[in-house]
Amino acid sequence: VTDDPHALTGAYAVDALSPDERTAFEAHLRGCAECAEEVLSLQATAARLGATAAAAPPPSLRADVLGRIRTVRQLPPDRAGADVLPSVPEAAEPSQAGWPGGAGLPAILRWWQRRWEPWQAGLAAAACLATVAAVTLGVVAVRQDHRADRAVAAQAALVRVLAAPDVRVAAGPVGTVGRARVLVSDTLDEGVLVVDGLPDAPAGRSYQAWYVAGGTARSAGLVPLAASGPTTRELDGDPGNATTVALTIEPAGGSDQPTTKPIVALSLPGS
Amino acid sequence: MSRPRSGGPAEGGLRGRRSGNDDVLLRQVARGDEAAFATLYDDVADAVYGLVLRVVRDQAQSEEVTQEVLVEIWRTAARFDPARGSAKTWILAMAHRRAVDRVRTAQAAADRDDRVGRLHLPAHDDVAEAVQNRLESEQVRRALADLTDVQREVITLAYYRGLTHREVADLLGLPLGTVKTRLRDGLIRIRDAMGVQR
Repeated sequence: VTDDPHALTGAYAVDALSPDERTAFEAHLRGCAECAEEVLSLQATAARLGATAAAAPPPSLRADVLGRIRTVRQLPPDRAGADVLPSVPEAAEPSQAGWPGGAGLPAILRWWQRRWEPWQAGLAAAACLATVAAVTLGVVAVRQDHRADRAVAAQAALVRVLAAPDVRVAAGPVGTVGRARVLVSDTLDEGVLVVDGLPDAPAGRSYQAWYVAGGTARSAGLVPLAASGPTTRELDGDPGNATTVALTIEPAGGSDQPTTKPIVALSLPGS
Repeated sequence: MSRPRSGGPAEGGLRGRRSGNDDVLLRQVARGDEAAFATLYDDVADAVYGLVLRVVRDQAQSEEVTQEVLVEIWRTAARFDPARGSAKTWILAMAHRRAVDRVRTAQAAADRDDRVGRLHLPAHDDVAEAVQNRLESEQVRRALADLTDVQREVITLAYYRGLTHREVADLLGLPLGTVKTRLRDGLIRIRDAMGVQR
């Protein structure tokens, strides 16, 4: 039996691994430059084999595909180097809050204005402008900084949730100078947390967000602070029946359940 | 010069008219350019559909998967990283992954044995035939012919049929380690014979 993971480059390149094996091998690839290099060359080789099978699809497929992409939101760039293969596809979703791919600032503003009811616009017009600026800056910085990629994804999520018809917002102070604001949408199953004015987490500690419902907490992910300015964090998991979003300080890497008293707990208004 | 030029029809299936241009098109697509996507569609749809059909072997399902793949290209174009290979490799890897996922999920565990059983046909014959019918595949044909029988068989069953290495081992009565090794050294041999970089 070959337990040597290096031997799996070929099987990986032709998708002959089971999902578990694939995941394990991808973990190995991240730490093995030699394997990663070999995989790339074998994937290119496999593509040459694949291209020999070319056959024309029915002509109607073209119109179907070109029609469909108009309703599909494009993803922002991923963290560079996160995946060896194209990212595992999530179900393509219709873009009811279609992200204006590649649009410049004025187009985003127009899109924004079209989408917003006056009451919603009043809710967070300032946040909107800050967001647009952040998105624009984020897009510029994205090629240099992995963190900026995550920030852009979070900003995109923020805009989506803000534009959702059922957005719920809760805000509150953190300590004397900090502020936290959370936005959730049940139809989008998404939540976004924005915090500002927080001190860096103590050494060996991380900020962690939680969805709380009926006395039980589910982790909504770690909240590493932005280098400067407000931090926008796309929360993990879906809001579900959560009534509160809380932030705690946990041992670095996070906990399964909160181990400290929340530094802020934001009660979501009823939908 | 690290990438093989994809010249003319030699680039089997991806119309080579504007070779290398798919990388550029993909960058335009990433910015939401629908016209660039239409051009990209014309460049790659045959390759995607043909590969998916080869693996899935059902026309209606292959059309579905092809559509999924092309929409996925649109959706994730910004994640294409040219440092990791050509647009063609990225697109065909995605098409292959989706096709394989389809045959593996479509087949309930119950009829999996049956599927493997049915595949106990001379699996590479029709592939070899199709390959021979294409001038542009001459190089691939030669590279495949140059493999040992076991190398050719494991690559054909895994890549063109979407079997896992375990299924290939069961089907051919080979130890799993042998299948892994032959998949790897067979592909390396093709790679070197064809001068494939990435």
